[in-house]
Amino acid sequence: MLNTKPQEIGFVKQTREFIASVDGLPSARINDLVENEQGVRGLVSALSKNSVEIWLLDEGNVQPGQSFKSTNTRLTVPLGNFLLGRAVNPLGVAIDGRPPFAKTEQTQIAELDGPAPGINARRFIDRQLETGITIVDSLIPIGKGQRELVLGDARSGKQDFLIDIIINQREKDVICIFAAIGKPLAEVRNIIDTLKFNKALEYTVIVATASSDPAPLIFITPQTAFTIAEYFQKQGKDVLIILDDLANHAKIYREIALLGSRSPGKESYPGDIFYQHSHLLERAGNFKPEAGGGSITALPAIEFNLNDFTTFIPTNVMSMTDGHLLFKSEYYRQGQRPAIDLSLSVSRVGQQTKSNLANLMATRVKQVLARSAQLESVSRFAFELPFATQLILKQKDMFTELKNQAPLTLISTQVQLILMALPFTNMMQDKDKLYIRRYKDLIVKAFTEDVELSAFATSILNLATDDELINQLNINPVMKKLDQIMAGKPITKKV
Amino acid sequence: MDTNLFELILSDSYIKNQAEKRILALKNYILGGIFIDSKEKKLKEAATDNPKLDLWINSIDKKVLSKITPQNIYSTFEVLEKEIKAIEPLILYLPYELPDEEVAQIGTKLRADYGKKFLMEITIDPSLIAGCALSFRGIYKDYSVKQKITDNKQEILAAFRQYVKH
Repeated sequence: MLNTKPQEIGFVKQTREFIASVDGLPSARINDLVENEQGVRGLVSALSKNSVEIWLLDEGNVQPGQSFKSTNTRLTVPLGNFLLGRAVNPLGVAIDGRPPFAKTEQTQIAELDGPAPGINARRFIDRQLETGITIVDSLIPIGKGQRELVLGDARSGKQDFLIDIIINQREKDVICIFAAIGKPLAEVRNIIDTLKFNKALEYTVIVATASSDPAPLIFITPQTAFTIAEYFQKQGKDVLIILDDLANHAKIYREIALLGSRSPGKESYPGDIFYQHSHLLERAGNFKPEAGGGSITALPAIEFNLNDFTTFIPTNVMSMTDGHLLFKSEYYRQGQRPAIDLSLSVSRVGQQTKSNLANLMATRVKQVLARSAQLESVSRFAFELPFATQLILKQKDMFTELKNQAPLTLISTQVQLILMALPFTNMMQDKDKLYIRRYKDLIVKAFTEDVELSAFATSILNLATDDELINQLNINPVMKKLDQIMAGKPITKKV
Repeated sequence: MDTNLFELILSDSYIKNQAEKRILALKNYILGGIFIDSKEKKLKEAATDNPKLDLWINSIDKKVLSKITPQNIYSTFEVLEKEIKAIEPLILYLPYELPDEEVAQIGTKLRADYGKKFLMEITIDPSLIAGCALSFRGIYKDYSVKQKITDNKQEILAAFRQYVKH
């Protein structure tokens, strides 16, 4: 008898766009990979009594009567350090125009939809992810292993903010993964070029699907991104993963589910839309050495209409993340960068990652901002305000200028603390926001590049309280150097 | 179900497609006989363009056909169609078209082993080169030369390299 390995086969009964119903494949499981004669791959997505539902991952002309054979594999992606600096699609195929990946023995393969680690594998989030952006690092800090939602309306600068965070991770030993979910091709190209130009591509992996790709392929983009993130995390590395954007992902899943005759729920989304996002985001966290060490910090992004704040998907994802940053296009148009609404943004976990000094400084700043919000309404009715009230309003204006940060700029933690403390110093008593606007970049440059001032900036990290910091800024002789630099003296750069 | 009619349809028809065509042709023939002209029973006239089908229809015993009346024709054929549809055929992938005699030989053997209701589907796939592949109830087995070449690709290439060296 001829010895031949049996394969399982199914015949297409019905096709709807990218969904095929197949008769056969007796022992198919969910997420098994099948392939037809033309090489079109399909993913088993549902099993019913008489048929198997397959999502088509490749473009191809699939007709009723055609056959799909089981490949005896599940949907996997190749993993390795070769992914760094490359852009791939969710099946691990390079899409950046450079040579394809060579399969070697070092190439690992992992399933896309792995379970999230349990509680025992996780540890307390106690390290800050330094974004290099003052308003975030000082007032809405993000911890390594945290999930922080970035949401806002269109044209509010969310993507620029996320790209800046990636660029600011240079020399911080953080691997970045950017998942572009169903973005226009031109946008994906722009992201790759921006990162390459700013030398951020060498520690970044881009997982991208274009809006023209099959919907099932777009749907699995964040799963691939997380699988790649877990590969690096298990090597003990800190990983930052950005999902841009989950609202698009939800819409794609809705389209697939409606075509697959699933019953629609709220806003016509399928009933398991919450699970699809939650089991994805649960894969982020800070992990114990036994689970590989390292961390995965997730920044999912959602674009939505700010007039309707309480739509389904944003509220869902807000409930499964550890905070959110709200961007407003109104602030963006006024020139505020990043256009974050501080009063509506929160980080539930970030405080525990900061030093006592940083927490006290942040509290002080927030108190001023809160107090000024109360006083502003009163101030409209008074001709002459008391000095204390004027001071608070002036400090608030200074903070508004200080938290503005141009794109593609990085401000270190110590310089951020100094900037936050400046409005409370004697030096700024007779200054206003125009002074800050004029000299802020020079102040940052002075504390970063000048030999004496940068050493002073490093030393303030050892201080315990905000009062000590303000005191140091008032009395330390080194501050005279700052006055001289403001007056025009050149910076003495570090050798 | 009229067992005689069902057995008649399956009698020397081993391919599912052929069985379905026979049911359709017979149904149209009888309907034509009922509705075109009830007085002139045109049982002897050809109902299809296919000479084989005509031959088969003309060979049917009139006693069997007389049991089909205008009252039961639709229900009878509905049941027949359902029965044929429910049969899971063995799909045979062949590199060339087989003559009818060989198909009948294969069909007879299969029916002897697996029952009278056994049917096949034949798909011609020249890329198999030689041999055949089978598919039944979702299990696919490939006995073709193409699969053998694929399975032993490395050995064949090594042999060729040896040959080229010498």
